[in-house]
Amino acid sequence: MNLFSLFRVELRRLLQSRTVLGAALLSILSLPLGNLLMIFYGSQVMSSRYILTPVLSGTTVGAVLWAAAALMEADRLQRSGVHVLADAISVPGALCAARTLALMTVSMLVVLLTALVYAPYTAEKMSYLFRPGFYSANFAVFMLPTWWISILFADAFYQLTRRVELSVVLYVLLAGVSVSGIVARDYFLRWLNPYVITYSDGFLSVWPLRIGLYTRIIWLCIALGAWTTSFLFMRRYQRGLVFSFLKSGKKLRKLLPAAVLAASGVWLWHAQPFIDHGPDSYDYADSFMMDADHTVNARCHLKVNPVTGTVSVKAEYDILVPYDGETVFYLNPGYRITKMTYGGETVSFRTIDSDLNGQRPTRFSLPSKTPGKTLLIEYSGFPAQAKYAAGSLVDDMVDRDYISLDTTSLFPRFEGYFVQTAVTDFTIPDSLTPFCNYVQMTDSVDNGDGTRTWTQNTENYIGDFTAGYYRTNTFSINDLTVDFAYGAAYQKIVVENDIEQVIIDILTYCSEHYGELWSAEDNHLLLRQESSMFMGGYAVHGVSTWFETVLAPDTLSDPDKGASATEVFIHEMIHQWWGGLGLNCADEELWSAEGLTVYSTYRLVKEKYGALYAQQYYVDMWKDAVENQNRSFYNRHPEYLELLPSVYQTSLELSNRSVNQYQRMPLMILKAEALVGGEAQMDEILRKIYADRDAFHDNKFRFSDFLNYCGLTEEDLRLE
Amino acid sequence: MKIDVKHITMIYPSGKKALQDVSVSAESPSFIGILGPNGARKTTLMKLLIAGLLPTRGEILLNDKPLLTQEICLKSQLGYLPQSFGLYEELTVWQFLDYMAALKNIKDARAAIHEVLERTNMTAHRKARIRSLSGGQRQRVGIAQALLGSPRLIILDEPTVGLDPEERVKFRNIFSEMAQDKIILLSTHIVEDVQAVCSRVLVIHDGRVLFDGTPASLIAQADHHVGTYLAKLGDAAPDGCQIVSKVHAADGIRCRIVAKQLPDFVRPTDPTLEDAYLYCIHHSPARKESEAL
Repeated sequence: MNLFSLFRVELRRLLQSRTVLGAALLSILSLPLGNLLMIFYGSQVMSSRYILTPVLSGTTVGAVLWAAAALMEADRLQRSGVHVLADAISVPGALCAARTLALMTVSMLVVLLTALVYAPYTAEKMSYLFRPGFYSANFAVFMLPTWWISILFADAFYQLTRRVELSVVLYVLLAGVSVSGIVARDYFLRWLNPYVITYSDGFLSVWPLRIGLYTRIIWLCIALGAWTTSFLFMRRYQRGLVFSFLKSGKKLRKLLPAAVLAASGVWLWHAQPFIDHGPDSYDYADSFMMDADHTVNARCHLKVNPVTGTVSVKAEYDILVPYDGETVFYLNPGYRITKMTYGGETVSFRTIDSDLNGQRPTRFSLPSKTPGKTLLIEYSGFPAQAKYAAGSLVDDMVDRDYISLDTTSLFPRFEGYFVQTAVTDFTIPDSLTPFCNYVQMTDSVDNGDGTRTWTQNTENYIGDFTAGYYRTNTFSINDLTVDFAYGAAYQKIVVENDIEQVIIDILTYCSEHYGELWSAEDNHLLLRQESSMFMGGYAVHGVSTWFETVLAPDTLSDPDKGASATEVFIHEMIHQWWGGLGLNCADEELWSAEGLTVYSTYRLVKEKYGALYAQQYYVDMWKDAVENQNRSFYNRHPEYLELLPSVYQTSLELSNRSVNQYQRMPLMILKAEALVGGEAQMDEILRKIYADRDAFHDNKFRFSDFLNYCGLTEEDLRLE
Repeated sequence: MKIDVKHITMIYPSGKKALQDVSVSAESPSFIGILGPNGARKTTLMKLLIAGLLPTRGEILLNDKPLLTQEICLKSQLGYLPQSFGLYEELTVWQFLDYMAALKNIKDARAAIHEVLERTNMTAHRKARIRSLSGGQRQRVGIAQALLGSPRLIILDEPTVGLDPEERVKFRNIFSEMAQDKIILLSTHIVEDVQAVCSRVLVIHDGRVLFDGTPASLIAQADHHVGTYLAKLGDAAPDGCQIVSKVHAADGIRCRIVAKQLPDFVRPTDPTLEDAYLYCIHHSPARKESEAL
């Protein structure tokens, strides 16, 4: 039996089948569903909105459609009556295999066609942020394998049951596992609807593709195993499942690959390097403060390979006073220790499979107690994410354009020893700019092979290492030197909107009116854009990081935050004063950090562009929005709101919340400004609030606090 | 090619008996006609021969080897036309035959398709979608796929159903020509077809082979058991006789009957194959034996 000939004719037949053509057409049309139904993945990131969301919609909907097509086509042989001709002259299974392979090939052609159809639209929407390779990779990694997995499962179920309705039941049960809320944040169980948190526009997001591809391979193995097994149950001699299985020839030949494939899937699942095997929640009992009374001096050489996503480390510790007895160090569970010696002597160690909080312990005893020798530890691997956090945020990661490693993903954390001094080398691609312990590194050597080695001397452990494909602009405002590091992909936005000057304006204005940005230290401030793959921004002394999405085109075109992209950026930057990193505001029905931020933006814009502009694009717009909100029938008659479907109720609630935060509150602050005596008085109040921000670190700054500072009551600020 | 069916008994899982102790042998070249009334289990026998069913007892040998071990060999040399079958409606005639050629693993599919299209007079319709064909044309496509690749074993179950008389004769002759180096099994109700082309006849009734031999020997069995007489309107058939035909004439109704013992008023006449078949079904010694069992 020539499988290729069968494949050829099946392919031609399927290309003329209405069922298959219908599945293909609907699959192509399913891509906009995610955005239409507002099922977003990191919506403000362009590549999430215009690539990830459509691709994942098409992946899931298409997978179901292709499973239906597989079932219909498998059953069609029977329904059409062609099976009486085909079964007589063909070897059982060959036709089925050819049909499935042909259907998979058609689905591959449809993936290709889908990618081509949507490419012009996506490219137009994403403009200079569109990367054809990354766009194509999404289709290849998520859509194609998932469709194949779906076809294989559907076909396997049909071979087993020989009935469409029973196959549908089995498929729905399997799909139910994937789409159920129980596995909502599980990368591995979601075979039908792959899980991705978000993408980054500025720093190419390869990590989600890596784990996506890995999970697809796992499920392809399992689906292929199930499909191969189903051939053993192929009906023979007009008999049932059991008889056909017993009469099936070459059982071992068929069962062996099936078992190997299924076992490979399970093994790949167990051996996956992306997430550790720790508990689902963080264990607060595990203290980071360990006894450490023996000092060491460290020399560490860390090399990152962004192509493979791996890290290799050679860490040397001069043990000044050896620890007596067995001790332990902790490392990222993704790393494997390849060598451990003390003064040249091999150190016996045992790694304990007990992952906790993203760390795995390794126990060891030094072979001699002679001081002054060097403990060498070599290890390498793929930094694994802590399981407790992996479903909701990205932790340590080596991506192509972004590296983020901290604590035990960098170097061992010893029990019993503390690092007195450390000299650390980081070898990374020369296109990346490194930051060590939140400070931009300066000393480096070009290795001439596309990599650069950066050196850092510290007096303790290195707790954080970040590197990214950045552009850094350095400029001064009076005595303050600002390093402004942003993703190279955003250069066009930065230049077009003159972001550097905007930062100068903001820092100048806000410093004068509210006080120096608290994170500026020693007349130096690093403003660094974070990859959107990581949760939020942070500020430490001398460093202030901000969300990648601050510069995202979708953010910069949000009219609630400003009339132009520049003004939206002003809004986002002012959050450094009025936000979690500055004044920690409560998020209440009629109070959040947005009110103060929008008001401050308005004031800065008023100073920059004039009162008329600020009145037209801010105050008048706030009033219009509030008036519309007041006029809303459902706001005037909330008793009718309950009669609406929940989706409309939610929509109205979100709309009200947005108006409250971005329009009503600024209007109330503007009213407060008038009541306290004018802009100067309000500035003075805000300066005092900002100065007192530490008092609101734990107990958040509430509306009542604001009223107290202003000496006003809620009634005073009520809008007519 | 050689096929030996040895003492086959077939009982369906439901307990229904299909074939009982059937033994048949065939060696190419052979053109065997299979005759039997509806429900005689002709189709069951054919399904056993194409390895579509497993016998409950007995064995089938292909070239002296068990059929189940020779399945791939059998399928590669088989042309099969079942009584009822389906076609892929969306394909053209050519594409469907190309599809079947791939299933049969025919090397030069193009030439083979050309040949069967010519033989079945379907060349003009090669680009027509199957959904647009008439019943007779679909039957011709069915025959074409069975003849595709010149298989060494051809099993045809009622192949001329739906064909007009001229086409029936034409196909009969085509089958006859092809039988020169093959085994052809032709199951049909049309005794005339068997008489015209088959060198051997199997008569099956109630899952048993009542006769296996040449058409001439089947006819010989009916010698002195066929006769005619003139009946009047309303006359019943004589006891133990089967009326083969009734022709209304000026002097009455001319009846042709078969009987174990012809009544005295019946004038003996030479039997045809149809007479002989009826005689075999109703009066052959084998039937009596099977009934006794």
